[in-house]
Amino acid sequence: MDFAAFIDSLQYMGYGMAGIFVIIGLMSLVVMLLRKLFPVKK
Amino acid sequence: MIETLLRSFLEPTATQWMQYIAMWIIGGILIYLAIKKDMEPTLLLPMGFGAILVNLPFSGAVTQYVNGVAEEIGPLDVLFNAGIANELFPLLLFIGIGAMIDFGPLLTNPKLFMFGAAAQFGIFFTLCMARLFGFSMVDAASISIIGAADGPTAIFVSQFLESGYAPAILVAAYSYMALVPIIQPPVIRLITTREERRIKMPYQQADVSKAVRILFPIVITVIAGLFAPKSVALVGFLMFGNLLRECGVLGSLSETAQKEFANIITLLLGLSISPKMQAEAFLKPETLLIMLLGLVAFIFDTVGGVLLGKLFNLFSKTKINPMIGAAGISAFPMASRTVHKMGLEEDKQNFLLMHAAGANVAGQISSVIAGGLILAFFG
Repeated sequence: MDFAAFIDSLQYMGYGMAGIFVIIGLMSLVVMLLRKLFPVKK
Repeated sequence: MIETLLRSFLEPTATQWMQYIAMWIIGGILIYLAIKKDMEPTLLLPMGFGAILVNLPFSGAVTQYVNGVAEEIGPLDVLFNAGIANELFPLLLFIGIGAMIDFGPLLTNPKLFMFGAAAQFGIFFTLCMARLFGFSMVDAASISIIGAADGPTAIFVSQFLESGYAPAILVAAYSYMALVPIIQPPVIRLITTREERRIKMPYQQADVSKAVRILFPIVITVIAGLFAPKSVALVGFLMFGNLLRECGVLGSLSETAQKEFANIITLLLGLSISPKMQAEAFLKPETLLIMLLGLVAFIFDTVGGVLLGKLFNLFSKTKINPMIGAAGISAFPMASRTVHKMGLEEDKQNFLLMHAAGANVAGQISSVIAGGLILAFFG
C-alpha cells in the first residue's frame, strides 16, 4: 500500500472533477443558449 | 518431418502449457458470457476467440520471434498496429456510436448534463485507489478509465498512455458495462431512501429545433477542443457521427455509419486486441486487481451521479429522482434502462426512461471529456 502516492493523486481527483464540471457546465449553458436563439418554429 | 509436426506439443514447457490452458479457459469464459449471458457479445466473443487463437503454441496468427527476431509477421499483429496501436479503430467506432445516439432527451433538458459529469467520479476515485495499490501513475490513469464505462475510450486512453495492462482494462470495461444491471441496483438502494426512489418526474415533451440539433455537435466539439484539446479526437469523431445523423441530407451515410461501418470496426476491434492477450502478458496478479478496481470505478461512478441528484434536491423546488444520476455513466443504454426499471419497481407509474436517457447520453460525452482530461494530465 502506497499511501504517499494515494495522497499525491488526490489532487488529480480535484482537478479532474473540477475540470469536467466546468467543461460540461459550459456545454450545458451553450445548449440552453442555442435553444433560446433557435426556438422551434410553430 | 514428424518432429516438425510434433513441435507444438514438445517444445513448450509444462509452465507454458499451464498458461496456454488458462488462457483457453479465459477465452472460453468470454465466449460463454457473450453467447449464453448476452454480455457485450460483439466485443467479448471476438476477444474470447482471439484469446484462444493467440495462445496456441507457435500460433501463426501472431508474430513469432526467434532469438528476438520476428520470424514471420502475424496478421493479428498487423491489425493491432494498423488500428489499435495508433488508436484508429476506437476513433472510427465513435463515428458509428455518434450516428446511433439521439441527444434529444439531453437537448430537451440540458441540466441533465451535470449528471454525466458527476458520474465520472469513479474514474478519479479509482485513479487514487490504483496508486494506493502501487500502480505507476500512467497505469493507474489507464486503469481508472474503466470508469468511463466506454470501450473505445478505454482502448484509446490505455493505448495512448502505452499501458501494458490494456487487454485487462478492456476486458474489465466491457464486462462491467454488461453487468451494469447487476452492479448498479444494490449501490443505488444503499444510498437512497425508498421515498427518493419513488419521486416522480413528469416528462414534458419539448421539441428541439433542427438548427439546435445541427449546431450541437459542432459547438460541443469546439468547446471540448478549446478546453481539453486531447479529447478532441474522441469528441470530434463522436460528434461527426452525430452530425451525419442530424444534418438530414446524409441519410445513407448515417445508416452505414450506424450499421455496416460500426459492425466492421467492432469486428476488427475485438480481434485486434487479442495479440495483447498472450498468456505471459495477461496472466499476472495485477489482472485480478484491475478487475477489482474496475468494479470500484463503476460503483463510485454510480455513487457520484446519485449524490448529485440528492444535492440538487437540497436546493431545488422541483424534486429530482436521484436514481437518474446513476444513468450518468456512459454505458448506453443499459444504465438508463436499469434506472427506469428500478423506478417502475418502486412505483408502477414512475416512468424515468426519458430523463435517464438524457443523463445517459450526457455520460457518453462526459466520459470522453474525462478521458481527454486524463490524457491532458498524464499523456
